[in-house]
Amino acid sequence: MSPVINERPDRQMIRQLDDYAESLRAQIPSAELDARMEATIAQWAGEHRAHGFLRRPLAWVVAAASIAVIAGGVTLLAIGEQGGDTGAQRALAVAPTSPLPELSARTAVSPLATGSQVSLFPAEGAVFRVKANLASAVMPTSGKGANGERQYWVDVRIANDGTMRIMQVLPAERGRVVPRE
Amino acid sequence: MTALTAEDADLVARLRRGDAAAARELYQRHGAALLRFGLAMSNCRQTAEDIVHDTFIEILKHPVRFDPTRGSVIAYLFGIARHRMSRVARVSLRDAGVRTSDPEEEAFDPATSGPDSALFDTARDAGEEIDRARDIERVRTAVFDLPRVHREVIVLCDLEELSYATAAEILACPIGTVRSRLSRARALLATRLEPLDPPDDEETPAELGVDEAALSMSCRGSLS
Repeated sequence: MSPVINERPDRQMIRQLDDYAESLRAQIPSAELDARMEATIAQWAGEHRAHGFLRRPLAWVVAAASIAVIAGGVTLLAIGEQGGDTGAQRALAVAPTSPLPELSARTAVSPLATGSQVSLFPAEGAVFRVKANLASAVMPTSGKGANGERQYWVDVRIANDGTMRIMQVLPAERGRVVPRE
Repeated sequence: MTALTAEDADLVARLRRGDAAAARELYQRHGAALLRFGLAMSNCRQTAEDIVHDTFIEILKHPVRFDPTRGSVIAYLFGIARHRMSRVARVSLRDAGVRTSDPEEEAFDPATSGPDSALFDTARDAGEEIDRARDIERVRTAVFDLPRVHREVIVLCDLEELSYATAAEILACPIGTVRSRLSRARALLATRLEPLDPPDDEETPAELGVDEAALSMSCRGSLS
């Protein structure tokens, strides 16, 4: 047979092909195939939902931002702890300059407020408990304490405007509070 | 791009977002056409349904591989099915030497199987129905015995009535090649449908494509 291009098949063959095409068109997917496809689609959709979140760039951005915020907060808290220690050391330096007469150089400072509160959240003021020795020139000695001195715990409030105020004085020997005001 | 192909492309775009409703709609639209293609190409309902299933699995897993600028969704789906069919033919060829019959495999016979039998329940004369069924069986056998490249164009252009352009997309060849293959396929088909055809025993597997011989063996074997 010669390979001549003929795009018009004869009528008999057209009719036969049409009959065959009609019989094919009557073929529909079986219920079994429909069920397989439904199961496949359901499984695919489930997997897509599970993995879809991680595939979205926005999800990664949100996750990274959350981690950054948390890490930043932890870092600030850590810095705040260090800042608290520095505040106590500053208080030690401030104590000798207080107007209280004859506070000896041998003072100890115990801040009542935490360091993090001092550094992270500036308040109106901070209260420090200062151990102080009071010389006999101010108060007559009663023979207690070394070298005729008496020891007190002094609660000092330093305001953020620079003023300092003594809240209470507590004798170190007996635990008795001596109101300042 | 027609409205239908645009809708198809939109469905595939929704597949990328994991839209199950889009997947179902795509199957409803094209599942039957792919099944018909599989039936005509493989002559086995089970194989045809497997081809349909595998085709949709492929597009569900990799919807991004579909490029709407390169063709229509239907052409893309038929292209996947065609590749799957080639793979099945290779596997059939490999198994042909050891498998003579497979009771699980259901051969496709349009005159007797499935809902198609309802076609013959009409008010036609019983003799006409028998003649028609016989004609359909002859055409089915003749089409199936064509070499694969010719069978494909007959199925796509004459049975599925796709355009030459769409067939060219599916077959990944120029339109001119589709035309020449179709002409050759019709000529071959005409000789097989001649009323005074030589007996079938003159046809040997050597005349067919190698994969066609394998497919033919597997599907005919299932009838025995």
